[in-house]
Amino acid sequence: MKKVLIIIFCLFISGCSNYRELNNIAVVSAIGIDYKDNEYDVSVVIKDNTKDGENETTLYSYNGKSLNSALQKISLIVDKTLYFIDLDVLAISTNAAEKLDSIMDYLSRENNVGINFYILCDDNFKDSVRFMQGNKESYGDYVKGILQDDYNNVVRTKYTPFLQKYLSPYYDVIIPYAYFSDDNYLIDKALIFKEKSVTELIDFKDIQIYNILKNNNMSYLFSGSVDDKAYSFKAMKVESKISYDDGFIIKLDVNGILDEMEDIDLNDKAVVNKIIKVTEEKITDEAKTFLDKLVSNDSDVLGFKKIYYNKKRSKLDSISDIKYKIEVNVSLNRKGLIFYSLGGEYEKDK
Amino acid sequence: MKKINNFNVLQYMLSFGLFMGAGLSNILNLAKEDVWVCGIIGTVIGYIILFLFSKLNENSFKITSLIANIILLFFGLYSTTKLISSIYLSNTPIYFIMIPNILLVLYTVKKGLNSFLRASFVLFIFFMILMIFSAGMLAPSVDLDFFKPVLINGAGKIILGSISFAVTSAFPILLMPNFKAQYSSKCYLLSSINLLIVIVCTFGNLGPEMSELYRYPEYIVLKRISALNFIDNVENILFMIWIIVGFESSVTSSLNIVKLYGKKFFYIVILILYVLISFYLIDSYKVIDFLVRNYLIILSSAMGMYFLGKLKGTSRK
Repeated sequence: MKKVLIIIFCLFISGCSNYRELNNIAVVSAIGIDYKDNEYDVSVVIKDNTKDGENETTLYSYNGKSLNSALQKISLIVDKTLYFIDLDVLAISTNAAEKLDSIMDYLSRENNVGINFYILCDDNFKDSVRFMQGNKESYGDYVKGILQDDYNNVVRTKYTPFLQKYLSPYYDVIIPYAYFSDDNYLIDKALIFKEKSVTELIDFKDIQIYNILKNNNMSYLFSGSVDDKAYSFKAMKVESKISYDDGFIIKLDVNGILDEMEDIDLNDKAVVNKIIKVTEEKITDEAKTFLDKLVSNDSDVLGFKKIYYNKKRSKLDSISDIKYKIEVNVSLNRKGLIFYSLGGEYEKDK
Repeated sequence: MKKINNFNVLQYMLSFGLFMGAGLSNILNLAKEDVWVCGIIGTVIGYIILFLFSKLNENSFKITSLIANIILLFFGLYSTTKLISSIYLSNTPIYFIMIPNILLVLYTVKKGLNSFLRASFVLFIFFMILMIFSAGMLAPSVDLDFFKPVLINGAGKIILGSISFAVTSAFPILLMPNFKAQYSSKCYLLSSINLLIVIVCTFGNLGPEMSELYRYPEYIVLKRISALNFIDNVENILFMIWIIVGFESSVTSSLNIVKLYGKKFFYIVILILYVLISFYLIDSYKVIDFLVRNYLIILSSAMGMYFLGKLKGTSRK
């Protein structure tokens, strides 16, 4: 009896009707979605998984009135079931960003889709993929590598945190923006949204401030000059806090090193204090520029509405009228293989 | 230290039984930011409920016991089958998916209570390993901002959420065999703490909007576990936690039905449930909607009716 039961269990629990051979599934590493003429233009990058070509991929595209219909057609062309569980990147165009509701709905509903992929905006997805293929790179791996690296000061948007912000009434979303510049593929810009609509494209400096204010552990560089001598300050440890007390108070504690500089005399305390003061002013100015941009666009990517809600227990409809104060405190660290500058003051003493 | 007996282990796992499927999402959507407050107050209410029941006689009105056990068996089978078909085997017919589940229940019932308790002890070890691993991986990414501001949702929702927690955790324990003799309040407290950790980890990782969006937040939160560049997509393994507790509640209620009306009656009941669930109920949107919306009402009514049955049984003696 026991043996009969075990055999019956084995027959029923093997889940054979859901079974797919590995050769019959197409592992999708990146999806590109564009929207024009009331149709979705969907492209998928499928890994070839050949022995010799580790990064070899194939690009398939099709149009459809809905995402599902376009993907179905692609599945027919590929002659395999599309498998999104190892998805690395979702790239949407600026036009498709207006259809984020449908896109998020599809991705959330499907159990076949992983949740650890990155989202970015790319208006030339197909060209980007072909460019990577020309360089023997896989688009998904390449973009994922850029977005994962702490050294790259980019907006890092993974699916789940993005969806949390997208659904929340207290946040607006931000998506990194990829583009070509002199045959280089860059992701140093970002799109900010207001209530699920694109408002403005922000640049590298704004992204740096955004990451600092979000306490993201990345590499931050601020350049300045003291007595016409240039230096570059690298922030190593940043702590930021936004609170509300009759206006928003933004406190930044920045500890860093001098990454490169001309012959500045660091023995002179007055000079060091000047460097700190100039850096503080620089950071404050850049933070103010970024915040003014957010306020003028009413784009709450930093969560001012949530901070206000937590404090006052009432909702803030818009951030266009908010008052804020920025307090920056910079401290210099002696990390690095050398502290004093080469040439100039250093040579004088010798 | 007092030796842990198999009934304690069974009681521990039974408190999770009805959270799978609709119980957890019900509480998360009701209480939102104050879900942890509901967990604490719900534990107190659950403790009181179990204390009251432990003072009543073991005897009870047969029909009320039968109805309560059928409801538990129904939810055990229905939730497990629905989850398996949604998550693992979306193309497999429901009647196919239910067969191994039902055969397992039948086999365990045939072997009797002692075998079931021994099996529960072994399953408990797997249960705790998976639970500790999941909590350990999810706890660091809990965002406390999701729980602010505190007590924002109003007393009504907090009370309702607390009652939901209490009823969902206490109801299966009430139906444990030899409840009066084997009930342990310390065990209930421990399981409530564990449940609170599960709730905090789930809500703290998903947030109010995603908890409301997803049908099975207890599964979706496990998808977030990703570590060391190779621990990924482990949600299907970790979800065994919920399959184990589904099995525990199904078998517990089955054993009670056998004790009340005998094996033949039990076979008829399980056959009817099998046919109803696999052919009529599981794919009906109206039924699912009804069960999710009225989850608390159904469980509270079953508990209330069981209580009246117990009172009647006590007064008869």
